[in-house]
Amino acid sequence: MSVNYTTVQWNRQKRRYDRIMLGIMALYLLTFSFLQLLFYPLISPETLIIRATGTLAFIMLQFILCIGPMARLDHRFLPLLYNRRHLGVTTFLIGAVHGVFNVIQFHSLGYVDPIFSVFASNTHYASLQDFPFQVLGFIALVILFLMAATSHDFWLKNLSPRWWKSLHMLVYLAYGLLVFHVMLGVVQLEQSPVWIGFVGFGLLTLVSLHLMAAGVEKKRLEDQMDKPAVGEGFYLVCSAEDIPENRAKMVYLDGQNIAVFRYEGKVSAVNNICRHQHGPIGEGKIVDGCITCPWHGYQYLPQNGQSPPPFTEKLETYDVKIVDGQVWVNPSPYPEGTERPAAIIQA
Amino acid sequence: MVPELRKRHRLIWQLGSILLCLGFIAAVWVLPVPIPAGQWPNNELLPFPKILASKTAGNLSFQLRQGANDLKQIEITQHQVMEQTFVQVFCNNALQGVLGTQGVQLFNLSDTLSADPPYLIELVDGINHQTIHQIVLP
Repeated sequence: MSVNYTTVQWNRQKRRYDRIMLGIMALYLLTFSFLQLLFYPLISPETLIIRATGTLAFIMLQFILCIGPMARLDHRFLPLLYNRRHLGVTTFLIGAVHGVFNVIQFHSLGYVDPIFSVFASNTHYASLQDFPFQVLGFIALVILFLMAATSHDFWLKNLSPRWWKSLHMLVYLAYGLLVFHVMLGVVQLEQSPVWIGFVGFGLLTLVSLHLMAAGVEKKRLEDQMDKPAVGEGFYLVCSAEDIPENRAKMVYLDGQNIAVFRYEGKVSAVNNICRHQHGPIGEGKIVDGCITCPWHGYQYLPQNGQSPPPFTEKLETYDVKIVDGQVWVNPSPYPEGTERPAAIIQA
Repeated sequence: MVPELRKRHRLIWQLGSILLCLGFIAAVWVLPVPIPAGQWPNNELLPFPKILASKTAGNLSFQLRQGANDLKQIEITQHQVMEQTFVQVFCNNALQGVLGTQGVQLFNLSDTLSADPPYLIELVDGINHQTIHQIVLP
């Protein structure tokens, strides 16, 4: 969270995250290079770089796509989500090294433009076995470039979270293209069961995680929508005891996505959608008196939905009351940043 | 994440999982039959002692060599690097291997092939499926 734009946002946690990420990457590259030199002693340095960066970028993308569903299924993975952006930009850079070395090695020594050669050197677009797999990798790299180039909050703000998110969901297309880049490329050339297992295992893991997370989320949403309405527009949400201290209960009432927080013997309700990247506020917790979004740490005061000064983000607020220990919420929203009295939990 | 976005994610992955898995299976299904290990370019083969015939085509020289037990060997010399990156070598329509880099390369013919002259040697661009050279050694 920052008032002004900075080139790269770092703090103590992000620096630690990045150091661990770079350490693991270096370890992978060294181990991979060692094994390649052991099994293929005549391998050229260019080929070694192409193989090492290609496999690393694919593994990193696979891991990045697993973070979202893992964090939804188990909140202990949320710290991985916190700095996913740096991981994504690094993945693009590694993929770019792979792409550039490939274009130089295989497409720059002919009579035509190297990029044109990527598309025109093999034109068996109708064949699965001989498909020009380099084209798939090239398009995936362009998508990753667009994502890395627009990853900064400047673009998020100017494109609007809706368009920005839609653009960044192209990562799923990029992943699909890369699966076929590998399956129609190196797998067809070498027919190695190691490559087939490598891609197959990753694909199965990723698809399973996403489908599991989607199922859990759908059930939660259906449960939330069953709440009966009562007089004065209030809906019964849950018992106050059901909300852990400094945590929230998320409900979907009358078209409103609401997070009901319990803190310091009180209960307040705010809109559940973070103004930064539309993260789920209700999956976060109250830190230093502020609701803290689990995705990137954006903060809001529970009683009025305002970010603490000098920040300017604001959420809608809702009326809450507690009757006989039960929490009731009126889903008619107040304008963003409107102060509403918290409901007091009677001892 | 807003519910509409969650729904979009769910639909993408439901559809994507089917397409990706089908594509994966199709890619494995069409895997080519691997070239036997012994037919890859092998720089460790020794040339058979007797030269029976020699021919030249473009920047390539071909020699038919004879060894013990009347076995035959094809020697191909690339004087310049070829434009094509993946060149397959066939003898009487049987795949013998792929051409490596510039220099001399040897292909040992099997007993059956050795006993079946003349030898039609074909070099095929494996990517574009075009015959580059076709020569006959007696």
